[in-house]
Amino acid sequence: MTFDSFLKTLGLRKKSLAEKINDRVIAGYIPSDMAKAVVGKVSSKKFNAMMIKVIDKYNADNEVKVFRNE
Amino acid sequence: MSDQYNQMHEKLVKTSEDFTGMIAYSIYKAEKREAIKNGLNIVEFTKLKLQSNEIGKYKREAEGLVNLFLQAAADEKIKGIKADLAAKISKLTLDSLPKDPMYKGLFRWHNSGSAGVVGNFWTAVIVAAFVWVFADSSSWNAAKENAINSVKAPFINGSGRGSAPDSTSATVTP
Repeated sequence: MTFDSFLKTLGLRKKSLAEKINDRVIAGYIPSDMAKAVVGKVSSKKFNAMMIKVIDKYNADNEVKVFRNE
Repeated sequence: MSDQYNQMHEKLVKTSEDFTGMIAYSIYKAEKREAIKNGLNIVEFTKLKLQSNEIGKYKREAEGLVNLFLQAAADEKIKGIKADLAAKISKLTLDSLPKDPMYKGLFRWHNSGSAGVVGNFWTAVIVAAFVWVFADSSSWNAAKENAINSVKAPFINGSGRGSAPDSTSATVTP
């Protein structure tokens, strides 16, 4: 256990959205009707497109240089 | 192609940006690990899993997992929005309530924690008023003098203590 995860377990440091969601799913999360209505049915194609968009945005915001075809 | 290599990755992950395919491949790998741990024939296992219905099953599982994670994210956001909205409505309600006038605040203070002290004061005032109304003037004056003397007595006795030896010596000596 790292110092960071120790602080997060004690509740002294806030968990990120990804960590919160991961914990929820591991604990046996059952989605609410509202969440089902909001998300709908996301296909693999749509999810991949979403991921590409998010990664590009993250890289642009954090000035991450990605070298392709090297 | 060697015996160690199968086409499962190629079947599940179409491109380097096929994230759902990567999740499906992870599910396959977890199942394969379990099979090895349980001592199953891995060649037979792989042959079985390469069938199109098994490939489809992995893809559906991955898609289901993706949807579950997205729904969990939506629920987390909905929770935040609900809390935010409740706080805003509460603030709006409190702000729109009419403000009490000053005398109401005074009454509230009078009837709260200070009621004991203030009540004692009013009792003393009412008793004094009764004495003043029902007693004749000489009795009232006598009562007033007594009250004044009672109030003064500690101060007079306190200041008189210093000069007490002289006065006692004066009275004791005949």
